[in-house]
Amino acid sequence: MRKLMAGLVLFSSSALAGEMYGTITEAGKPVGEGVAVEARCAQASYPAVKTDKSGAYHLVVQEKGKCHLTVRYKNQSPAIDVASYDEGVQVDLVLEIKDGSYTLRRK
Amino acid sequence: MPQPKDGWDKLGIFLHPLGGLLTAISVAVVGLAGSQVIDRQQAKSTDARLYSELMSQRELAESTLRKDMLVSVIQSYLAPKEGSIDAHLLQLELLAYNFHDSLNLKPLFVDLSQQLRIHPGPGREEQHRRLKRIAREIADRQRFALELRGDSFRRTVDLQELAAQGKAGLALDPATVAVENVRSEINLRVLRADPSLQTIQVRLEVRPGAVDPGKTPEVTRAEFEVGFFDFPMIDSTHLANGQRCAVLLSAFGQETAELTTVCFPGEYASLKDRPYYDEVVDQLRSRASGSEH
Repeated sequence: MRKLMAGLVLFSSSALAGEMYGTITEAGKPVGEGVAVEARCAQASYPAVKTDKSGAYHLVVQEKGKCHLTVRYKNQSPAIDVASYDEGVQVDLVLEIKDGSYTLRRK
Repeated sequence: MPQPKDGWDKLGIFLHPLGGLLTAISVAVVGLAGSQVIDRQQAKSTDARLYSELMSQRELAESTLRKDMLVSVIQSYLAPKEGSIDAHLLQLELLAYNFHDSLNLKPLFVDLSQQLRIHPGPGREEQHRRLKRIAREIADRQRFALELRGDSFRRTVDLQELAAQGKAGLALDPATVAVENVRSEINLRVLRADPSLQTIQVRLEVRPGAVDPGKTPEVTRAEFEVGFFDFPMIDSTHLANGQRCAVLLSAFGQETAELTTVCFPGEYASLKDRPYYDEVVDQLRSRASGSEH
């Protein structure tokens, strides 16, 4: 447990500027490996990063301010507005089905 | 005329002295085993006593060291000196890393931050960054510890939208947290933001789910200011069910700010935040009734 905490503290304090990280879950469970997450900040678009087996992702953007995250999941592309800062920011996302389509919300 | 002895009589004659011998052996074995058990228990209790004495001595030595350190650092911190901001930063860093879970260091952080603003000079920006880095590291450390026992969620505050809303403030998306099998709905309303001081005024509303079907859960409401120098273990809102919720400012940008809300069991609040007596009695009663069922 101590190692986990130390790791988390280290991860947080060494978070890069404009970094966003978190996990993606659906019905309380991680989405698993290979789900693509794309970011668009101002005019810049960033190539998709993939989640790992625990559904975690992290991406680095150059811009600070409002960004748009898109998740490619089961042939759908739900999106959400987030923000990027000097410090890294944790954005845990929850996938939900509404009217037959996936939507994204923050945990 | 004596009757002739049958096999059973002969066996009885043979076993009679043997029975006495067996009884004597049994008593000796039981006595020996009993004394061994008693010896072992005594050895265990001596070990336990020795361990507890060693632990108490170590605790005492550590407490004395911490007390001496606290007095020394606080005295030198509060001594009026000119141009000693670097020394103050170092002293505050020492205090923060060693006493962050038992002392509210916000006044010292705020004071030093003000000093840095009032007395501009070379290296001030770096000093301010260092001050914020210490506060962030302590807040993150506390948050991680609390998240392991509680639940949390994060929200982004759109500062332009907040300004457009005026005095009504901006309601953030509600969230449900689960702490110790109690689910609570958390509503946050941001009332105003101060970009120069990087603080946000929030109203927190917590509606715990009903544990007892016959009882309506009490809603907790609190309004407070959140800045980078607020630490969740020290500065949290005491809920009616004994749990705590704290709101942290995780980031503050030009257009947006980031708030993290963490709710956790009351046992993990700092030493200075003691539970109310009736709350302790209620908890003991509910545990006792729970063990009966």
